[in-house]
Amino acid sequence: MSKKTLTLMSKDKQLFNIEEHLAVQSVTIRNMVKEDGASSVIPLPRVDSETLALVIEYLNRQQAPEEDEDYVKKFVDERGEIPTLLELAQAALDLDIKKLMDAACMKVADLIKDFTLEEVREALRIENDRTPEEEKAIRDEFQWAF
Amino acid sequence: MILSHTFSVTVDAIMHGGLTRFMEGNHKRRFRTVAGMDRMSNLPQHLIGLILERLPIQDAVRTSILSKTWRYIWTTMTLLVFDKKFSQYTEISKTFGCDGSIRIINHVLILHNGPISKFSLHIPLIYGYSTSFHEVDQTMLLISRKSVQELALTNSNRCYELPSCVSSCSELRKLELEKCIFKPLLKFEVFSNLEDLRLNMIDFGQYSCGSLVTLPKLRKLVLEECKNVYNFNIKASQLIGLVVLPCHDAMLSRLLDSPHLILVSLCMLRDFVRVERINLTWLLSNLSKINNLSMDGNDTKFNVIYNLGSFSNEALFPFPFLDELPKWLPRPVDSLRLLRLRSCQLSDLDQLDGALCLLRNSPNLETLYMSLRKPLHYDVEEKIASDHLESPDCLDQTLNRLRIVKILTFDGSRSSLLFIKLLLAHSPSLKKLTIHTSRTSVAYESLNIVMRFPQASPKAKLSFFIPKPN
Repeated sequence: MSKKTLTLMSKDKQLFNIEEHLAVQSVTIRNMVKEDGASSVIPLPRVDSETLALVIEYLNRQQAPEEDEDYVKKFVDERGEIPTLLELAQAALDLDIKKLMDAACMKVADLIKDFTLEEVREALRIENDRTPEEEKAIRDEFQWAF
Repeated sequence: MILSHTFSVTVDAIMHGGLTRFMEGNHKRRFRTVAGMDRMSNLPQHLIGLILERLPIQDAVRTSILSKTWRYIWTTMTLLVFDKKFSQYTEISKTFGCDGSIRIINHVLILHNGPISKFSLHIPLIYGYSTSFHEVDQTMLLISRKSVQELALTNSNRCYELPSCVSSCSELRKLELEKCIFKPLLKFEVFSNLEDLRLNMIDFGQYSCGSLVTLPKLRKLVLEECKNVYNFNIKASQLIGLVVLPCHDAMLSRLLDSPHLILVSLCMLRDFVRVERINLTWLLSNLSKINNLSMDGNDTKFNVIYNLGSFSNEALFPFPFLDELPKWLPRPVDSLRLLRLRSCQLSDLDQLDGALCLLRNSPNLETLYMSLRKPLHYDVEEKIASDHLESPDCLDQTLNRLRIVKILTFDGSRSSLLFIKLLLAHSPSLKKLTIHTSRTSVAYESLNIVMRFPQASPKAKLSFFIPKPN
């Protein structure tokens, strides 16, 4: 029996093929397959093609179960840029791929842990809309955290 | 605009000394960014929460300064960790006193919004005894309203009496406690969802007499150095893992009466009180699914039954009744794959017999770990044990499935060498025999001897391991 293949479509309408037994590591896809047999293309309107390519690379890994933890760590380490990691974490969250989501979030946390607040703002593209007075009030309230 | 803010942040950072890395310069790192997009506004709060939960709590709280949207995001985190590290972090800053961390934790909990799935609390060494434990009681009260599913509590003080509000945590699935006192008021049966319970140095109280508590979902139970355990009168029929390390008064016969147990680790000798009658024949015939068994060498003395039924609490030592050691158990322990014998004294004939009986009756055993203990009376006992090991009917059973053997704290004694000889001769599938010894001379001498032992397995790999001195 030949292995069944699924087609996933990214936000920017690119198509990706993946064997069904690998794709169902994603709980979201597993449920879709269960519901309607997923005969045609599965659209993933929130995942761009770059990120989906990464997700597919992860799902296609050929790792022994005991090496899996190390693999996923290395996998996210190699994509150490925050925007990529955030996209990846979001996609893993949407597709419900727990290990990948855990590792990507952990990596982002590890990276921003040592950042100054300004660096965090820069990395996450946050605009500071606070007055210095408001900032001071927060610093006073959570003196122990600063 | 943004630059001026940057400036104000860095000045504050100097003043508070909190952001250690700021001196390295703010703009050292550059990131690939998507043009014109406020990335975080596209990221749902849920994902931000997941990232914040993976930061030390102080870093997560600090994000409230980032922008107006970020002000309260951290308050919805479902995982809050105030462990030893956090306690050390607040101690370093000194401003808050030695037990300031509890006050900070309570402040955070008051601001926290929504349920908490996992909460860890460390109670640092408290000086102003009564008032400060009162603050810990408040912490417990606050979290008892948070639908906590996993709770871990460590304690640097002698003991902390758990307040009864803990009983409201009916959604608990995992509970880890250290150095606490359970009041008899505390009703355990409310924890009907509990799957994993680890109790370290817990006192169940001297004067209470617990009624039978059923924990229908409990799968793992660890009791370590607990006191008055007879008051912790539980029935857990779904238990699959049980670890009981030295505890007085543990009612093992009740705990072991769980048909699904696959992992058991016991340190029994000191555990027996009152009306328990347990020997290993009973133990193993009761554990029909046991896969992984760890016990002390002393506990393998099959022929000893401890019975303190007729003694009061004043009896400080167990009173042994000698029974005949059976060669074959009523039923082989077919399910056993891994056996770990701790501080095994091979020159003690009873322990040796117990160990051999376990090997003989476990036809599917794959892995054996043994740590050896020096005999008390070397010469006489060594001679008797060695003679026994050399007698032809000492082990008349082939250990067909045994593949991995590890011997720890090997001392090169004659009985231990003969035991290894016996294993090598009876294990046709042996792949790996590792012997750990702290003495180099012992390793070299024994290596030559062990190499010459006849081996039933053609592919056994033999290695001596000498740990590096510290």
